[in-house]
Amino acid sequence: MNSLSLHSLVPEHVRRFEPYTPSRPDPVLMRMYGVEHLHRLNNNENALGPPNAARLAIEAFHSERAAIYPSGDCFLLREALAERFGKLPEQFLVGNGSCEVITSVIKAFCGPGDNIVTADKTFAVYEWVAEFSGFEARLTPLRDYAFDPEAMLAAMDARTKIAFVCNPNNPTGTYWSEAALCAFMDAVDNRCIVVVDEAYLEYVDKPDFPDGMRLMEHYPNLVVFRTFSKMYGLAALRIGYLCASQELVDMVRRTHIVYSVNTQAQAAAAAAIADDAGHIAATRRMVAEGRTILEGCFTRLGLEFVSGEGNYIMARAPLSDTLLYRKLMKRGVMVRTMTGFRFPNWIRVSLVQRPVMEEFCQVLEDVLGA
Amino acid sequence: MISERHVTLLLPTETASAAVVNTAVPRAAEAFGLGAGAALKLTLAVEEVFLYLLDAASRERRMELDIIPRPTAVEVAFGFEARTLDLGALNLTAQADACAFLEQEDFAQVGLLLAASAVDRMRLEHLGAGRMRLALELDRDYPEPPAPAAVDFEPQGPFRLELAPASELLQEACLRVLARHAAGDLPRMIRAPGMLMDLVAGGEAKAMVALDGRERVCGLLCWTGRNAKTITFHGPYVSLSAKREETARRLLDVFLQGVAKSGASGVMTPLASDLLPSGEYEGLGSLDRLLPDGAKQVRHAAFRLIAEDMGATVWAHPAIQEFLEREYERLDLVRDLRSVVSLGESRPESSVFSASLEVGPGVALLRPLMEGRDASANIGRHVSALRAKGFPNILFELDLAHGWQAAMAGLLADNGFKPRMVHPLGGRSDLVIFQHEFPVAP
Repeated sequence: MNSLSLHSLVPEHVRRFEPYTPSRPDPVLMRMYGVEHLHRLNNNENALGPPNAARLAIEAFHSERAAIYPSGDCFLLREALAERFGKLPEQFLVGNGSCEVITSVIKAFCGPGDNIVTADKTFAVYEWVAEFSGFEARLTPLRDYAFDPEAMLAAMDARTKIAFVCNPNNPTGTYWSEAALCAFMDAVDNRCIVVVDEAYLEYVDKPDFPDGMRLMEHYPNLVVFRTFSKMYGLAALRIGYLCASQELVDMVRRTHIVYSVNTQAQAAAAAAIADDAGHIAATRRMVAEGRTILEGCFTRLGLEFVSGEGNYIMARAPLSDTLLYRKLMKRGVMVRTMTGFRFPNWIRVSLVQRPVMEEFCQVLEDVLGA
Repeated sequence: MISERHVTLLLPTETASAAVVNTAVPRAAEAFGLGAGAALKLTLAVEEVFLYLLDAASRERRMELDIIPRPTAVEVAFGFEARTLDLGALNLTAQADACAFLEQEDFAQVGLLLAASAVDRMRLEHLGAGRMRLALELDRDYPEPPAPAAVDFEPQGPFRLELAPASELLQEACLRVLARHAAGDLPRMIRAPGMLMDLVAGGEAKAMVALDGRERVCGLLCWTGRNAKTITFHGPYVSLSAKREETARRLLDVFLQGVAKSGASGVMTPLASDLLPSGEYEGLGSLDRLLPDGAKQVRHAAFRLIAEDMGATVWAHPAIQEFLEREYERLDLVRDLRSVVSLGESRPESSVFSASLEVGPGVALLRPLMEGRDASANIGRHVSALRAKGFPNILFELDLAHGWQAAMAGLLADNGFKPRMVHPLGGRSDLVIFQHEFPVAP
C-alpha cells in the first residue's frame, strides 16, 4: 500500500494556511485559570441576551422537532425579513452566521487570479476566507482608524471582484457616512461587488449613518450583510443574512449551502425582528452606560482609547496585550487581544452591564498598578 | 517544508543502491549550491548512513532519499521503516570510541560516526508505525566580513520601512549593524550577511530595513520561523545615535503587524535588545556565556505571545517541577504539569543527541533525538568531549511535549546542568533550556 502523502494532495494555498484556534469553553478556561467566574468581554456578545420574543421561540422548540429537517432556504424567515425591510423574500439569503454568507459571496464571484479588497485592520474573515479559497486579499491601511476609500479604490484592478467594507468597523467603531459610502459606490461604478457588513448597525444611532438596504435600490452591485449574533443575542444559534438585488442573490444562491441554518435559529430570528424595539433601546442604554464607565476608566489610567460605534471599545495597554489578557483571565475577566487584528498591545472590551464594567475597571486598575 | 525542486529517490534496500546514492547526491548537492568539496563530504556521509541503515531497514519497504535544497544548506533525508535501531555512533562523542570500534572491527559504526562529524545538523523524527526520518544537513560556507567603520548621521525627513529589502540593501544594513555591535552580540546570519541574504531570498527569513528620507540605512530587524509556533527575531538594531527609540518602535510595530496573522503563537529573541520597549516584551531569563578572553557575558532572552494563551499540558520531572512552577507563575502562563519519571521501562541501548556547534563563541546546544539506557553516561561523554574541544558554553534543550525528554531532566541535573529558562511554545510545546556549569568559575 502506498503511504499517504498529504503534501501532494493539499493545494499550496491551504498548506501554508494556519488553522484558527478558537478559545476554549468557559468551564475549561475557568479551571485552567483557577477562577470561579468568567466575564466574557471578548466577543461583543449582547449581555442582555435575545429579545423576549426570541426567548419564547427558543423555549417553544419541542425536542421531537429535532428529527425534522429545517426549512432548507429559511422560507418563513426570508418572508419576515422581506416584510420588515420592504423587500422581496428572494432578495435575502440566510446563512450559518455571517461567515457562511461571506464564503458564499466569495465563491460566487471569485475565480482563479481574482482578488478582493478590504482593510488590513478589520474583521478578519473576509481576508481569511479569500486566502484559504486561493484568492488574493488586498489589504489597505486604515486612515485615522477608518476605512480609506481612496486607498481601496487604488488597490482595485480588473481582477477585483469584491470590496468588503465593515460599517461600523470592528474593532475601531469608525463608520462611513451615507455621503462617504455613496461617493465610494459612485467611484466603483459597478466594476465590482461592494459588500457592506452592517453587523453592528443596530448599535448605531447617528443620523448620517447609511442604510444599506435603502441604498441598494440605487446601486445594483451593493450587498448588505447583517447578523443576529450581535444586537439580537443569538450568537450561539449562528444565523446571519445578506440582502441584495434579486439577480445578485440568485447568483450567490448557487454556491450557498442549503439546510445550514437550524430550525430553532430560524424561529428565534423571525421572532426577534418582529418585536425588537424595546430590546434595541435597552441594549443601547446598557452600551452607552458601559461606554461612559470605560472611557472614564481609561482616561483615569492614562490609556489611549478608540471609542466609536458598536458595543466595544479599544484601548492601548502599557504592556503586551497577550500578557494583560493572561493577567485579567487570572481575575476572571476575558478581553480580546488585538495583536491578531494587527493592533499590537491593544485590547478590545465589550460593553455590558454596569456591575461588570465596574469590576473590569477595578481589575484593570489593580493589574496595571501591580 | 520540502522545496518543489527537491530530488526524491526510492531505493531498494540492497547494497547495490549505494551506487545510485553516490551518483545522485553529489550532483544534486552541487546543483543546489554546495561547493565541490562540500558536496563530496555530504556524499560520503550519506553513503555511510545509507549502508548502516540497510541493516536496520525493513527489506520489504524501499528506502526514500530526499535531497532538498535549503537556502543556506543542502539536506539529505532518509525515510525508512525499522523496528529497532542503534544510532549511538551518530553521537558527537562517538568519535572518542572510534578506536574501540576499529578494534572490534565494527566498521559500520565507524562509518556512522564519520558521517555525524561531517555534517552540520542532524534530525531524527519518529513518524509512527516504525517509520523514521533521519535528516543530515550541511551548510554552505559564508565568510564573515571585517567590521566596517561606524557611520553616524542625523536622519533627514520622514523615514520609511523597506519590507522586502534588495540583497545589496540588506548587506549594507548588516554591515552597519556589525560596525555598531560586537560580533559576539550578533547572530550568525548577521555576522555573515550572505547567509541572511540567502535566507531572505529563499523565504526562510524575513527582514526589514529602516531608511531615512534620503534613503540612508537607519535600522534593521530580521526574523525566522515560518510555519513555526514561535518566530525568532533579531533586533531591532539601530545604527544611529539619534531617534533610536522611535526607529526601534516602528520596526517592532510593523514586525508584529506582519506576523500577527502568521499563525505563530509568539515571538522570541534570544539576545534581547536594549531597545525593546519595557513591559511589552517579557523576560524569559538569561544564559551566561564565557567569552574566549575569559570574561562572562549575560544574555537575556525576551518574548511575547501573539495569540491568547490556550494553556497546555506539559510533562515535568521532579527535578525541575519547582523551577517550572515558579517560571509559569512569573510568566502568568497556565500549564498543567504532569509528572514523569523513568521507571525502568524498556528502552533502546543507545541514546542519540544532536549537537549544534558555534565554534567561534564556543557554544554547543544539545538536543535529544532518541532516548536510550545510556542517556546519563552519554550526557557525561558529551560534556567531556565538548570541554575537550574547547566549548565552555554547553546548553541542553528539552521539549516538554515529550515525556521521554522531560524525564531526562534528572539526568541533566546529575550531570551538572541547571534549568535556566522556559521558552513557551518554543518547540512542539514549551522548551526548557539547561546550562552546564562552567568548568572554572569565571
